[in-house]
Amino acid sequence: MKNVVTKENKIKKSKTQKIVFGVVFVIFFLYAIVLLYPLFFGFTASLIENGRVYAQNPLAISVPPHFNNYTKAFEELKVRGTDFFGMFVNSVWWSFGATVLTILSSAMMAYVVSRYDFRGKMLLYNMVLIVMIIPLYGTESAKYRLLQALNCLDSPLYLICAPWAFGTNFLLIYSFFKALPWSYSEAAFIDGAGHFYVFFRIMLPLALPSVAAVFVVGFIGTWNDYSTPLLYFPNMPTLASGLWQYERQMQYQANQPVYYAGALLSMIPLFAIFIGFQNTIMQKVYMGGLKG
Amino acid sequence: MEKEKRKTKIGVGKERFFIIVMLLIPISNFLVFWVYTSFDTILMAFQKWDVAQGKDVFSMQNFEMLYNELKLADSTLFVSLKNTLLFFASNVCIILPVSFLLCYFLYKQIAGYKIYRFVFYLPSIVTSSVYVVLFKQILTPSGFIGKLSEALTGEVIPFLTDSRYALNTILIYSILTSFGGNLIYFSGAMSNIDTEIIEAAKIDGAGMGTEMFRIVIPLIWPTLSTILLFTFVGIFGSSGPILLFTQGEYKTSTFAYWMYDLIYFSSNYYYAAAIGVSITVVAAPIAILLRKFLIRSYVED
Repeated sequence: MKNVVTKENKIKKSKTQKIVFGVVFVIFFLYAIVLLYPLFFGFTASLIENGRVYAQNPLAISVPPHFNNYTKAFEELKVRGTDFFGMFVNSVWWSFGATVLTILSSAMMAYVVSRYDFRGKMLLYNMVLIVMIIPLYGTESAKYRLLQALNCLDSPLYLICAPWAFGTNFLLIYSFFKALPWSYSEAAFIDGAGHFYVFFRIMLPLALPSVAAVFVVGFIGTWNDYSTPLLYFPNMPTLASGLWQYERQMQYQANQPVYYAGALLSMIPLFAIFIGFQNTIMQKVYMGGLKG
Repeated sequence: MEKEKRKTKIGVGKERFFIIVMLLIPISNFLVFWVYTSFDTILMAFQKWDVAQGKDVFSMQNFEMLYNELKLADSTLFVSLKNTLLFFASNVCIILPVSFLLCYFLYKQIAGYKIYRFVFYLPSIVTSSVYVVLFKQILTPSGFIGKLSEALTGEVIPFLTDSRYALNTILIYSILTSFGGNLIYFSGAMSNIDTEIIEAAKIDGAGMGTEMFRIVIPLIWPTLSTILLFTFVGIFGSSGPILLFTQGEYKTSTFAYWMYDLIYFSSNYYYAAAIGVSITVVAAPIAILLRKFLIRSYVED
């Protein structure tokens, strides 16, 4: 059905439309090259023999290619005593832990606020909007001091501050729950199911496609966040923060081709996730208006 | 009758218990990591570390330092102000409209749209700490752009080590890599548009311009205006790629980066807090007015 509509659209395109689409296609093509070339450069730089000055020709691949730089990345990329695999592990607990906690916390609050009547319900909703629209800047100082006092710096205990429910995730998940039909949960309540059962076994699974999309977007963002790990757990480098620290050492001593090999390897997990969830992300994340 | 009443009473109790349990984590997290830290931030703005006493003492020193910045035309304050405004302007005038156009043509399924959608989202997938290094290498005299610009102008252009070029280089990088993030929100909103509306308009003879400006934009305006507001709010909060490019040197600092730099490199927590509080005092009323204005714009539609 979708294909038929598309075909019709194409037949109906006028001459000017065809020209516009042609021009845009060319612009898109050039823009795509701008975005892809740095990755190509990284790939060529990762194949150069250790210690040689690289990139005599910016458009060619080094001959012979040294693929062993990729295995070397696991042995030689060390930042503050953490090797490449260690950085990967840090990336995993940090992005997985932080994203799961914030999504779960947001989902719990969003579900209760969207589905139940209680005093303070609108206050919570409006509080989210207020916090998002007029945030206090510079709170990193106080957060740092607090985490220091709680002994949560440089440790996975940092995740204690992760279950944040007063942000975009809340608004997105709130609208998913609002849009879900009541009938399923009503049927379950009549059969004697409890509130927790209905939330965890019926409503959350129903919202899962949308929640998954929010999760993937959050996961990608957290995985790539280098400034938070640098500030709060500098001695537990993730791939994002560790590769930056390694690059800063690079000017003095580090092995450059191995850095590029590691950099490319570090992209694989997110590429895999994005390719798997591409359609979900692009269609399910819908942000509504600003009204309270 | 009696029995039923009791049942509902238990029901109400259970419901209340459920609500409390569900809200326990979100609200306690909020109280500790928002209410308390906000309170402490304001306190820290009026404090300094007293070495002799070994504790925080009340002080106006941070605001005095900030006031002194106002007297110098070339101070970090003015550089940050100018650059923050430039980043905001490039967001509103270039990134948002171009993201919209980009998304519109992907939505219209331009040839190869699936591949383009993937490539355009790349800057969000590739860690910026790596992507920036790759771009930096291309800009060096031995890199592609370095060589090209030398061939064209006859001299080596110091893209990142000269205050004449450094900020523009970072701005261009930010513009080139920022479309993808908006793509998600725009395409989500556009895929929610009823295709029948667009078909009907087409039958009535609406061209591409009419379709874009009279149908698509009004229908996704709530999303568009939300992004606009959060762009303004976010511009003071996220430091972008400045740490990765120049660490604020060559006149590239912004407010967000300035605060990060003070905490990360100089451990000057009190001054960073004072700057944050000052920015909030100026930015908050603007954000509230902006929201009012934006809401009115789509309520009247």
